[in-house]
Amino acid sequence: MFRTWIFSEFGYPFHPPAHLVMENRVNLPSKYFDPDAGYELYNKVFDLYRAADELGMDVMVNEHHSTSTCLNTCTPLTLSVLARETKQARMLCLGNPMAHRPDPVRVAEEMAMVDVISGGRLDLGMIRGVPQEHFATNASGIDMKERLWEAIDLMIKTLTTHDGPFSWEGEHFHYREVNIWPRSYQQPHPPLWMSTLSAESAADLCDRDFTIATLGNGWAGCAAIFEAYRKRAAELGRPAPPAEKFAYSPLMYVGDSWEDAKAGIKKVLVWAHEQLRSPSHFNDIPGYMPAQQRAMLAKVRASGGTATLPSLIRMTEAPLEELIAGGEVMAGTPDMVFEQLRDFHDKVGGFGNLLPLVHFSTMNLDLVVRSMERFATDVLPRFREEVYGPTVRGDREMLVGA
Amino acid sequence: MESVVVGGVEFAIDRRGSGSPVLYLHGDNGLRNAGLLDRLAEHHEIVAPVHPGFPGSPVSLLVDTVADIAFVYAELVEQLGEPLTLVGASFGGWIAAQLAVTHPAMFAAVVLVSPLGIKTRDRETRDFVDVYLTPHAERPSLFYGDDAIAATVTAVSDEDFLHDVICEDAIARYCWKPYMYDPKLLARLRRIAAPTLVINGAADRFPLDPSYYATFAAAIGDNAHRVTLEGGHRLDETSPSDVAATIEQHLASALGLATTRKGV
Repeated sequence: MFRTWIFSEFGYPFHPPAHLVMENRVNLPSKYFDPDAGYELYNKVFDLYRAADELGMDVMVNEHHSTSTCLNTCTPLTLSVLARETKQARMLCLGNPMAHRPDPVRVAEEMAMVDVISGGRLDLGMIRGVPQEHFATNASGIDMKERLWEAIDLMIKTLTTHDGPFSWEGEHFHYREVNIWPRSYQQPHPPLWMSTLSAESAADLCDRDFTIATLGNGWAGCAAIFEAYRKRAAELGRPAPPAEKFAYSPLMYVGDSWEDAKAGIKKVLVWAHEQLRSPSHFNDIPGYMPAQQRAMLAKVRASGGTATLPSLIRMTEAPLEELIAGGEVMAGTPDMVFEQLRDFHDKVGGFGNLLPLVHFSTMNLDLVVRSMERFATDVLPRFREEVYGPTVRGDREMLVGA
Repeated sequence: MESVVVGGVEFAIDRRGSGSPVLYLHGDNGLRNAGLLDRLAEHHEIVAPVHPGFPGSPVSLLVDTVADIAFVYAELVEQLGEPLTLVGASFGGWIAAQLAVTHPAMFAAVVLVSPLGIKTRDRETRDFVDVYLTPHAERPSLFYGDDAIAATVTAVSDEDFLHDVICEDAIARYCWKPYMYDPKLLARLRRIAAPTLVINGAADRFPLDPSYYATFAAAIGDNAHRVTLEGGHRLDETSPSDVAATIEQHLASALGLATTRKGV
């Protein structure tokens, strides 16, 4: 089944203006956080997620640290609230920053507990984390990939071992007796996901049979990543991966009219502007990316250029119509968003999970709920019936082959 | 440069010059602007290993701390034969201090130029400027004292940029946490037995404690003396002739006066 996982970053609505405090990651003093505003934000977002559940959709959470752009600092905490706030929705954690968490066994415990509380509604995602997180956790960027995979291997073994303790004496993690209670509700473990922005990583995710998610990089970037995953599956002699293995996160607003949608999506796009308030040296962590790539960025900086992600610059500067054409954004009337979703689906060779960022900053709850209602009522059923279902059954050709 | 394997660890060595032998341990910026090495090679036989992970030497699973590097170099020195003069700059000064602490009889003289490696202040007071929190544009003057001097040695070619980034990765491998120091080194510096010269730059802004180098030298003991030269942290790159002349003065007395050595 095609799933829509409603997503909010818990963005704090009252960032100090840029002329007072430019930077909003790593070093933004928490004196700028108003506890009452925070109280309202948390409750608003939980209400938003409950509305998504009542509309028959699923929910997704992520986490960041030391930043006003995301007040969700601990996904197990928000998931445990959502386990009770929602009744039917599956809950996607995307995800656990495994190379930053010092204790992968604790992650397995948290995820198993949330899965049990929710009666088996957890989808368990893992992420590498953005470079700025290295300041919050003091985890080194060196050997990060090796640490990430050792942490994931250990977490999965922790979730799937039920015959008593095992020991783990690895390169990065050491345990005497691993033996968690509770075990997860879903067996052998909740569905596993991982996000990536690079086609190079897609093969690793395919090897593990994870669901692969990519965020905000448009249909071209997304298609390259999905294609790498499919190619790897073919190399391994596996059947073509089902559409449910692929996920994409755009910014989304569905309006009554094009004018209404433009006003709504402009508020969601504040997200991209806020991302750009992080100075480039907070993104430049040794080991985080290959030396060749960092050297190229160093050369760009030395010649006075900017080393910011081009995709973020584009999202703040390109006309809305271009962002819609590129697939970074889905916005418009229900008919327009249906067509955008259909075209995106076909251009990336099919996918089974939409993770729309529907809310940011000062957007009020009613505004977001109306957008979600239009999507749940006038886009999603039609998309399932006219596009996704027939395609998965083999009754429909995609408009543009992947 | 030749490549060697010592104790299962592969690394490159720059060998050059003739005269009394010197083990030269390069700093946080590798051997790209090795002016001091050039000057010392005019009077000495130089053995300059490239530390594992720095440009030219692969990362080794057997080496992920300064103590691991020193462990490998102790075996290298045993193969070379004693006595040697030990010279290290910045990060290499930290390795040199670690080596001289664990093998006090191995060296005839020790020279530490802007050595990293100790913490002198409390848990809430940083001892070194955090380079990762420093905007890129401010980093050259942090290490070279001022922008004009930095401009003479900063990266120009693609190879330079790649070299510098690999050096940054290597430094992060060894110095990310604890940041630029070994909590045990300060108390162990007293074990350094050879006549020791500590050289630091008057405009070195990298250590935040104004007494950092004085504390370093004092912790070694009466066999250490300290000379402050004009310049910033990377004196080995920006003032190689002054540093080399100061080292030669030290060696003239140190290598001639074995009685200055602590009993070991």
